[in-house]
Amino acid sequence: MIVLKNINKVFETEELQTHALRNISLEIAKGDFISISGPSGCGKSTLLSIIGLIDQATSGSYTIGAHDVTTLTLDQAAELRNEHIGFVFQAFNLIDEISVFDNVALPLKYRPEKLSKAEVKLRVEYCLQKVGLSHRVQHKPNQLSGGQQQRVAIARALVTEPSILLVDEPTGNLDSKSGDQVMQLIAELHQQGTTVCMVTHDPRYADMAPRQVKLFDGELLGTVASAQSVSQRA
Amino acid sequence: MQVFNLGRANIYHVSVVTTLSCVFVVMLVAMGMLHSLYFSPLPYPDSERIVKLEYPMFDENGNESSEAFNYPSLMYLYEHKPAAMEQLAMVHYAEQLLTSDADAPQVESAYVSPEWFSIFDMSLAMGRVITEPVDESSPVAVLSYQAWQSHFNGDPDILNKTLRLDEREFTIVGVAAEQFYEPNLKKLTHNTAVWLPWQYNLTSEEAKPYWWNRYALNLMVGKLATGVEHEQVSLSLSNEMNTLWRSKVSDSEYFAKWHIGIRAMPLKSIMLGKSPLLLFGMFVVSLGLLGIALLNISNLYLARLSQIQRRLAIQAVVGAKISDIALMQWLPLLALCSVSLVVAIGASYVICLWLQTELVGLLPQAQLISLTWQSVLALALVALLTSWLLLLAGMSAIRFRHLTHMLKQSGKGTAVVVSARVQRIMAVSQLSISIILTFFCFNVGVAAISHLNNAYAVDLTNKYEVTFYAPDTMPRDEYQEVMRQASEALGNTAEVIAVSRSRSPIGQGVGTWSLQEVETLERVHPVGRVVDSGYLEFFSLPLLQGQFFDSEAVRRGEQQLIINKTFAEQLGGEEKALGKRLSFNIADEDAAFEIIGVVADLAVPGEPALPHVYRAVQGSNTALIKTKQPVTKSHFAALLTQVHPALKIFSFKSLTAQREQYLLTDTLVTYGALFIFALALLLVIIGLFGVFRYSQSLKASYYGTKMVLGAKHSDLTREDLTTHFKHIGIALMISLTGGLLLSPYFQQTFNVAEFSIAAVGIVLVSSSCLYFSLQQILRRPLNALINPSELVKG
Ligand SMILES: Nc1ncnc2c1ncn2[C@@H]1O[C@H](COP(=O)(O)OP(=O)(O)O)[C@@H](O)[C@H]1O
Ligand SMILES: [Mg+2]
Repeated sequence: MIVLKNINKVFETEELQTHALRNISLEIAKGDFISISGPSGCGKSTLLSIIGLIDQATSGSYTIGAHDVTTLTLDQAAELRNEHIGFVFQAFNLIDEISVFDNVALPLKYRPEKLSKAEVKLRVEYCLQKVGLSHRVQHKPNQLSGGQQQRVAIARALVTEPSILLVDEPTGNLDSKSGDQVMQLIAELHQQGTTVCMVTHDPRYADMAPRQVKLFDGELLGTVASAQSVSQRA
Repeated sequence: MQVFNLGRANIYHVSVVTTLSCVFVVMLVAMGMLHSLYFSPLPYPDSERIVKLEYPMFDENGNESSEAFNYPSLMYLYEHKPAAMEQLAMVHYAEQLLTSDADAPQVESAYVSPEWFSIFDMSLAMGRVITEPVDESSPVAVLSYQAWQSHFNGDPDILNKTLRLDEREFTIVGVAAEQFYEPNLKKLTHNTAVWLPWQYNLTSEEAKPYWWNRYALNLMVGKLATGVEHEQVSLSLSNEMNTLWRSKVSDSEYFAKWHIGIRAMPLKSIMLGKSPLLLFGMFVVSLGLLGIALLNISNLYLARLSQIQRRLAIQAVVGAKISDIALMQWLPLLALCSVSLVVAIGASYVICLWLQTELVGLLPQAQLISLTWQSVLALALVALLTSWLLLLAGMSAIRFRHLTHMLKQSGKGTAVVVSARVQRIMAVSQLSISIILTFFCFNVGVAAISHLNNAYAVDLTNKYEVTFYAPDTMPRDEYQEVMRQASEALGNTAEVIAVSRSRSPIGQGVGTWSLQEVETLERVHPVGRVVDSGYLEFFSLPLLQGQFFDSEAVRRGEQQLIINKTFAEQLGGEEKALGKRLSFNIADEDAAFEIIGVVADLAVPGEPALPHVYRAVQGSNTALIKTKQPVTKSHFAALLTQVHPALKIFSFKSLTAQREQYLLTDTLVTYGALFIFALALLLVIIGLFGVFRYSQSLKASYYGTKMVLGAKHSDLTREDLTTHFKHIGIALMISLTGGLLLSPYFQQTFNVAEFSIAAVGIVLVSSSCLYFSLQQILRRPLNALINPSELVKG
């Protein structure tokens, strides 16, 4: 479903060139749960940004389903993100001024075809229920704990029923207990059929994914299929 | 990214420096003028003891009827100098022709008693001053430096040469030093070219004995004895002089209940006139501007802080205390304020030099305007205070406890925060202030400019006022005939299209005539104008009813009047007014005048339309001419000598120049006010930009997140504009209320159309500010937006 071929990414700044990704080729099939791990600065977030259409590769090709998405205009990228991609950030990136409900409903607002109020309510409540936060609908994000905030962010990523959930260091800002809970939730989502691509530098969490990719200095070190089942590990 | 940052830093620095410099310039000029004119002593020895003695006359109701000495009182006071006065000096101002010069230019002269020179401590370029006591002086003259240069080419051997003023010769005995600064006692633009002994003053011999005459050109100045207050002198001299005066006019029934007084006015209050009000007003305005500027710059500064908060966070993490951070923040602010201060001092210096020459005629003592070190020091303190207040605003917005957290959370959240509510209030208040300011700027500007344009809105191009001079030794009848021939001669030249033997309407006072309607005995007080028969047609004043004057009828001495529209309305309408009879002296049946025509109003600035009445006579020594092309005085000099060898041109002024001169004050005040308004407006717009910038850079991560979730630029722009329009809605209501409430203070009626234009203008300007500022932020890489801390990466 997602196919990256010979992706290179070079950052050009005034003084230096950073070759953040070199010749990355990667396929993600529907229903996969793939983890990308490696030391800090090896290019994980950069790769995820390219997959998530937030950034564009310097060279190489990229297709999602039948779409060639190697080069897109800003608006095309926005539409495709909205349709295919759910993003979860390390820093949650919720909007503090609006309620949990409105945060989760936000992506629906930017759809080309608008949903009715009732439909929106139905979807948002369904997703919040999935992450176990049905009772926090009218709270503001800053009234929630970190773990809860990250679960709201996951609900928001799910609300458009994306083809893939991209998760960047979801536990980076959380204590280990909340982190475990969030990881548990992600694993459950995978089992329910959601395609997940997750970046983490924590080997413990990387191992939970059936497919593991290791990045080192912008290069792919190979794919390891995990023998262990996710639910057993947790 | 580096370049981008630099560019952004520049916008901030340039905005702050521009804003502050503009405000500082206005402040410094205001303080400089206030200090140099109002708080500094005048450049004369013991200047605080110098007084002008005034001679007000009060009518039977105790109202001041005039302020001018009669000749005998003046002489009496001078000859019986009271002990309270250390010195007394008389001066008589005149305008005369320098007939010893081939061009016979008009010069201003001053006939003074010898004390004048010591009171004002005249320094000399050469020679001596006039020292002989009054009555003993030979005809000598002291030239001003200016006159020496322009009329005598700075001739080094000028002493003991003679000059002729009108018909009298004087020997030059001295030249004033270049830096001698003459006090303005009478009018703002009097520039004495030559000082002469008092005994040759031009007061006519026949008029000298009368105790009730008033000579506005005969003045007295004096120096108080040490320890004497001017109020004391006023009181004692008033009593003494009034007793004397009453004894001299005791045979007059008219003056039975009148009295006179003596007023010792400190020289400074005379020389400054009403300008202290203007000076203080300007200072207050500059304080207002400073307030607006502070508001704006603190917005810009907050925006700046939220952009550099990562740097602050790093400083906090590596152990900088709050005081260290404050110091590190204060130094750049202080630098910005200092740069603005230097720019302002430079600009103000130039402006003051310019004002010295430009404000002559508007402000008394304009030549004394300067940047005093005291005002520069005061401004330096203001600059210091400004940097302090900005620092205070910034420090109160930094949440220091969040700073260190911020890095741990890899940039999540912001540590420089002004609550959303405060931001909303800032936006709404800036919008409201902008709308109100634009509205009044527009309102007052339109009114002032149309007022200027309407003043003497008759065609003045190529029109001149010519005053002829003939020796006053000439017999009366011959004089009249020569004057008539002079006008006729001008009219016969090819260049001249029309002649009216009248005075220019520009700058004439509004002297009223007390007339009585013959039928109803009702008293009316229109402004009276004596003109010749061709005057109204000369100015193409439209005839609304009846007819113009007929020159034959005027020659026969028929008693006719033409009135203007406003007066006609007072008399019951244009048609009814026609044929009515008015008289100065109702008892004399033959003295009545008949109204034969009604003409349109001739608008005068600063006055509501006044009733006017025109009476035609044959004219005297002044003529108005209209020419085909612009001409100069020299054009007609030879022609006049043919009419009579002694005939000369006393003055020759273009009406356009007269109009400009007359409107100088209004023009300068209008443009000055508009400049200040425009400046305030500019500041407010910079402020609006700051408010938007600040809230947008706080929201950068929200924009990024929304874009990741699928929002397009157009979605975000639409969202922000919607909020903006809500703010505008509130601002409109506030400014509408403000406009309605403040209108009376600007002496304007609330004008809906002008308000709408102002509001639409601000809506457009602010929306585009918001739009462009937002586009600039959205142009950044999405990755950078999601993590606002990345904004200052590198
Ligand atoms: N916007 C950028 N500009 C320049 N260099 C960047 C940018 N983003 C990332 N890099 C560089 O690319 C490399 C990979 O970064 P990243 O993908 O964030 O690493 P990771 O997520 O694995 O820690 C790093 O060396 C980083 O400095
Ligand atoms: Mg990363």
